[in-house]
Amino acid sequence: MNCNEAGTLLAQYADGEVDNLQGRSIEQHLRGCGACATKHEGVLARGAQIRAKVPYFPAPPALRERVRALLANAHDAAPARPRPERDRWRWLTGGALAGCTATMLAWTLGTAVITWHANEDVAVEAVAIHHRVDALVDLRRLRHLTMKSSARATASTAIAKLADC
Amino acid sequence: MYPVRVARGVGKGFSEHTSFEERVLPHLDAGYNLARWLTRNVDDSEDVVQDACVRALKYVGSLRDGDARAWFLTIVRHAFCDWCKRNRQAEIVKDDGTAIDMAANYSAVDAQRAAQRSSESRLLADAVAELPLVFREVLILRELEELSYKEIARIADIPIGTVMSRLARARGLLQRSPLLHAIREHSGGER
Repeated sequence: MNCNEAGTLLAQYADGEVDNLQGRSIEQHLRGCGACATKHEGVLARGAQIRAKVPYFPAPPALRERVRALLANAHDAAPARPRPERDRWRWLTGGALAGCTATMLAWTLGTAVITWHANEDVAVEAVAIHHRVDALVDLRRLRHLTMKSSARATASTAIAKLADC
Repeated sequence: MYPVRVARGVGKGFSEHTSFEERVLPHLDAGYNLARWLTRNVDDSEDVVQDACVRALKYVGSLRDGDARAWFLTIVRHAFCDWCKRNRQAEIVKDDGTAIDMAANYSAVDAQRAAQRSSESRLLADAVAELPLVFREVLILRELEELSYKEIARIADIPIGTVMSRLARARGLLQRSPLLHAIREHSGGER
């Protein structure tokens, strides 16, 4: 290895980024070349200067606290994450219950209306029958009392019609 | 680039929070340091790291094997890139210097030496902070985080050859920086 080759690899060598073969070649060259050895020492010294003098900024305690608070908040919120899945089923359950209730209410209401209508019809029918019976009685009485044959015939026709009803 | 996959349909349970606490939280300093050097601003770096933590917590389920620090630094860098898109003006804001004083406080031992170190650290930090973003990024990842070229390539989403060339350029720019000349003159004058 000559000085040019060594010079291009000195920084990588100082950074520990050369393979074993290159490393041994550079070491051998540095032992026999004072100029390259001086350059190598300069590279090492500049790296050491940066590492020693350039400040390393640790995270401020306030930031560390904020990150821990963030972690705690996320941890507290974590069990709530599956909620949307449960909410969806809850909605379904609620909808089903509401549907059942509405159906039962409609059925009860419908039955009540139908029953009410039926009762009303029966009452109307009862009144009508009652009126027909009264009329029939009156007609029979009229036919029995009248002396005219034409009037008796008319009463008999009316009685027959009412009886058919 | 380290994959940051979305864990669809996976509930974020206790194990993922534990995973974040055990695997990601120990690298909060590394994440903040990178964000601090990328944004060059105390408040902005905290915003970037907080955003990165939210993302990391969301995707920690996808962190199976490998280096959690490199994974988290990738997320920090993504968060920074998104922050840059939203705050272009803030990206060019100069360092306010407060963080440098803060860092000096950690290493203060002897008043005179601390003052000298603080002064040198400030000049060197200013020189690093003035490097263009692409060079500053690889220099910080290599020198302060001591990551390999391969890891830097994955974090910065660039080929290893580009990592090497950017690193060489960053070191060259730093050596030619007038601020570093001031340090050398200061050191030479004391001898």
